[in-house]
Amino acid sequence: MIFKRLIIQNFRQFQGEQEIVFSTENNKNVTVIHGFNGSGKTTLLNTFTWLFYATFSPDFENQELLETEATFAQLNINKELVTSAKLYFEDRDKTYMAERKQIVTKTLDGKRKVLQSPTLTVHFHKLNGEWEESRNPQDLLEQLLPKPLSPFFFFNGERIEKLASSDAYKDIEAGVKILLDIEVYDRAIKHLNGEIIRTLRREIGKRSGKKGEQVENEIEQLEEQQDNINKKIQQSKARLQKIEEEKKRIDEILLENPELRLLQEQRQNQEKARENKKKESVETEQQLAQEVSQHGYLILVSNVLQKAEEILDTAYQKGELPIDMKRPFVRDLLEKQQCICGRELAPGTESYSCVEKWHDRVGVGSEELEKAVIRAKGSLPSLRERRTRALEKIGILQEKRGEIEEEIIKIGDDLSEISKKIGGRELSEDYDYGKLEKQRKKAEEAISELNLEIGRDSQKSKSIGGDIQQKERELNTIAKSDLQGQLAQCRLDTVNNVREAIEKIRYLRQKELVEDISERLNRIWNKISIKDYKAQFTDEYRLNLVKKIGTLEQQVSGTSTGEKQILSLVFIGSLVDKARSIYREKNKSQKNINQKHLFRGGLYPLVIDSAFGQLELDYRRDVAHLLPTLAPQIIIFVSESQWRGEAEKSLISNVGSQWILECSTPKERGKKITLNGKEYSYIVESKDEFECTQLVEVEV
Amino acid sequence: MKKINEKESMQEQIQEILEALTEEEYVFLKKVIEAERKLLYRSKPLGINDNIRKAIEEIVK
Repeated sequence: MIFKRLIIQNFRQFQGEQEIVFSTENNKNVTVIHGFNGSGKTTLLNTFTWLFYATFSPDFENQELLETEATFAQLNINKELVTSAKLYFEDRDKTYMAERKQIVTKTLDGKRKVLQSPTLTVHFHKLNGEWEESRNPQDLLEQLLPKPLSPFFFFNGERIEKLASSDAYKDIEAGVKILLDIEVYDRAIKHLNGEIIRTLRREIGKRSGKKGEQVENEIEQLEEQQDNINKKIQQSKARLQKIEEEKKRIDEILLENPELRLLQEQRQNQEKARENKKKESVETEQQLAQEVSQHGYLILVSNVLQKAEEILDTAYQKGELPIDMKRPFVRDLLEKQQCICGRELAPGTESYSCVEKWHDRVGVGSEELEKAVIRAKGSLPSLRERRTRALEKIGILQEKRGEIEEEIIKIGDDLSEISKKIGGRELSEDYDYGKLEKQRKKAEEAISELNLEIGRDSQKSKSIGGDIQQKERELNTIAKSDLQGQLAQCRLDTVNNVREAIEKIRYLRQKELVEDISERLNRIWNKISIKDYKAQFTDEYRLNLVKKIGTLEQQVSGTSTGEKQILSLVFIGSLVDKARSIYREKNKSQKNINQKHLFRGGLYPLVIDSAFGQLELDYRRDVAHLLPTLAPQIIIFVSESQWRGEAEKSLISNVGSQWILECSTPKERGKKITLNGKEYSYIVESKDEFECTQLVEVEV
Repeated sequence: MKKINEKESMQEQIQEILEALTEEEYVFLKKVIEAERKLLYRSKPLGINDNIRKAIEEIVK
């Protein structure tokens, strides 16, 4: 999506009809809009959100009063006043025109009356060049730029740091999932797994006799149980998140106290170390379980090995082994009709019959047995050696497990000591540290309990899932009474196979995206940040800064607002950049033709009010360097102080279009601004008592 | 280089998943994704189950 021009009419301080043309050039993709405080920068940002979604940012006051004050004052009784915003834009090679319009009138008593509440129309260019009006304009617009994405594309740089706060991950998750095509897979899995499969199974149940109906009912009951457990898990997770946030809040308070900071940092390190030890313990347990499952039988068969050896030795001593007489030898005697003693062996004679009995006695089994016995005897030493090795390995692993457990206990003791020290601090003016420490302990216990509960419930849900699968297999095997039943079974099989394929694709996709965004994020963050922190985007859609302490990575607490602003901006840039590369790959790649429809991507502009916020000069310069690379189109609103110096120097070569919000105010206070070597009015004295703003284009 | 290889490997794995599907299953997958994408902007995509049901009925006859 690339914005071409915006026409606003009687929108707040923008009196009459005014137009702004955005830069659409590739290497000059930045449009800068200069404005004094209160000249309409935030209003312009809100024009976009009003036009797209009929919403405003929380700092946009008196949201119902959109029309220009001065125009309304001059409006005659019963005359109409139109307030509108019209945007021309391109998306995926198609041109659109979206307009939201509101009409108000003045009543006899001079009051404002809404004649037409905000109404949206969207037109798009047909192939023949004519405009066609969309029948579902809001749907169309939200298809092109879904609402959960709006905080990523229309934002105030001074408030963007909230994306890096701990409670923002839900917003991030919703936006990222849509932007990067994960949501579409989640929904497909949910819908296929829900109503679609249930309907088909009911159909099969109906057509599989009484037994089929019974199995189908059982499946439904199991699913209900599983749904209830899953809901409980979700509730527990939500509670867990709240408690974790509370604990984090307490930790931040403790970190703020210079006397407690060291203790708190020690605690955080120890907690991280305990977490790692717990992971190590789980890994050791797994190794132990694997060793026992692979070689455990050797430990249990110790007596058997010994007994086998004794039996074989006895058999050898008694001369029962090896078996002297071989079957081919006896057969040979019978064929030659002569015994080894020289007697003739004529068929039918007693001698022949005697030797024939020997042939049967030395049967096939005996030879096979002898071979097996020889093999067994040969492998006994190696089995004994393997047994010794397995015992040694198990011993080492058990010892390691013991050591880890001891270390965990020791860390626990240290933590308890730290907790006592913190809790024993005297009251400060602001906080009762003893009380805070108690709250923290309570939170820790609750977290531990909830984690256990979630683990238990997840296990239950998984087990019911297994039962459901078992019942489904049972239902599959029950004969279907007619063709309809068979058809429903075929459809169910198709749905199940496709659902499984989508689950696998979604898993691969998410893994690749999280890794890729983390990598992009970190690369840009490293270039800008002066601190040795690492930017991290986790599987749970959390945006973190981590620092390395020894061999451990620890989440940074107490990040400054400026750092959070940069991190958030870099994060948005990484997302938009990724969406752009998916879009380009999709259009270029012919290699995997089957995958073309799977992922969509897109080109998105960034519209940023106060892009440089309150950043230091160095950061301001780096962000200015970065901005043109973040998205295919950048529209920024700046005050003179934000623009001058580093930002201007770094950005100017990428600026394709500049505008001034020339602000008229009743106060006698004029101000000029010099841009591209030319002087422009910045603040002028108005002719009446109203404030208004005029959009003025800066000459290139 | 490692990243590119990983990426290709991801695409190859997806390709394998798609190729393991029957023609009918592949067409159904495509239709499901298209149907979901059309209603993605809605937090509650009304009618999506009907759309998917119609797709499976059209494809597996």
